Amino acid sequence: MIIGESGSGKTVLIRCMVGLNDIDAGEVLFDDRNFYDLSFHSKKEIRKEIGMLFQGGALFDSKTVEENVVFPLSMFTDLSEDEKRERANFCLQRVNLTNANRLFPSELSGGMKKRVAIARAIAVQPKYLFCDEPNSGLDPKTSIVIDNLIQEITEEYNITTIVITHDMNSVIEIGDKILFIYNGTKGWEGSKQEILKTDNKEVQDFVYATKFMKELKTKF
Amino acid sequence: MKRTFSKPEKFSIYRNRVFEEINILGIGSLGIVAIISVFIGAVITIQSAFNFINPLVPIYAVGCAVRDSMILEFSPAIISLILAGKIGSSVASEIGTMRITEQIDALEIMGVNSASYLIQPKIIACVVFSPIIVIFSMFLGILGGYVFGLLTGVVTNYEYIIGITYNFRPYNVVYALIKSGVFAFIIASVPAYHGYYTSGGSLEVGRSSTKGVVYSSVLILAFDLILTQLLLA
Repeated sequence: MIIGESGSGKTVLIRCMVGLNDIDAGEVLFDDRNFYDLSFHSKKEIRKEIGMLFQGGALFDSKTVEENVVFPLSMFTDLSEDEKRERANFCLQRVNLTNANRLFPSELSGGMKKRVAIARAIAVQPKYLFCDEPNSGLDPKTSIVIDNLIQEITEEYNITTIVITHDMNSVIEIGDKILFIYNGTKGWEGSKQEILKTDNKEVQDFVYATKFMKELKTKF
Repeated sequence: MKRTFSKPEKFSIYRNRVFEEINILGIGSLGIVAIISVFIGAVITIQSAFNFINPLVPIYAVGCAVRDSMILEFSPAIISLILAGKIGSSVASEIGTMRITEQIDALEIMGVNSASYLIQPKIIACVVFSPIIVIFSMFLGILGGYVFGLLTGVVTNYEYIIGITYNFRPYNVVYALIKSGVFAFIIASVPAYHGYYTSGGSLEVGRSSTKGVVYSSVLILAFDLILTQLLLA
């Protein structure tokens, strides 16, 4: 999980990881394959192993929910139309979204869009799942549903998931390894148990920014 | 440009995309092209009839004027300018919106060549369908001139038919089709470029759309001059 204040560089970092932004220095390794050293064709092959959940969902406006999920299958598999539809329905059911196949993204709520985006991301069974602020714009209850869904899918498909967030509820809920970004550099790294006890001032300021968290800190 | 014309990931999907774009960009433009062509043909007929006051100029020259105006300039160039506004703004805003809502990034993440997937079918659709639009416009313009010429009584049936067949040069149609193919490429590619490289928010999408239309219109005019010099001079 990558956390940090707004403008600290979290989204830039994840975009560099998936190859949407170029890097000035360093390496991005996918199973020891340095993404930025690879040819255009090899990069495309790695990208087929990547699923990404964008902040706004990034669903294709002109396609229905089912067509959105079917799209990567049509592009990269030789499945028949029935098999693709079956797989799409399976993925949509997996994210608890039924009876929405024929709806367009403009007809969906924020939470539903995120679920369709997850279904689309897992349709081709990726090895890596990147989530850019999956809870932004969602109410706390829906946020937990999305968080749990991401965690369940990560465990079920045995994939590596990297989540960017500034939502501490998510960090406590599904955080495993946590990286704190401060002013574009690594500020701190640890587990969710450690983050509550760390002496790092920037991390403390971030974690205990709200009145509620400050009160919790004084109680425990 | 290289990425736009690189080999498609899956030919069948691209073929379907081309048909979709022909339907949206080509067939969707026939209505406006029909209305404008009929009225322009009618106006050229009436204006020509009232300006040919020299008794040495035969009245069938009205038919010649309508035919040559429609074939040489109006149908390929002016219709392209109008389509640059209609299609250009649609292409730039569609792709620009996809860019700012991260839909293009989503395509890239999936391993899809977004430039090729989004732009190539639009360019192919425009270039393939442009001869149909131009011939459709020529036909309706000349027909509009005929109908309104008869209705207003400025020209007779016989004179108009003589006029549109007199000294007809088929090469002029070839010249018009060549021009329209080049213009169609400009109409699809220039706004697509501006849409694809949009950054920011909805305001920038509007700016990209405006830039796409303005630049493609200017390029159409410039290439109209160049191609006329090359093909007719």
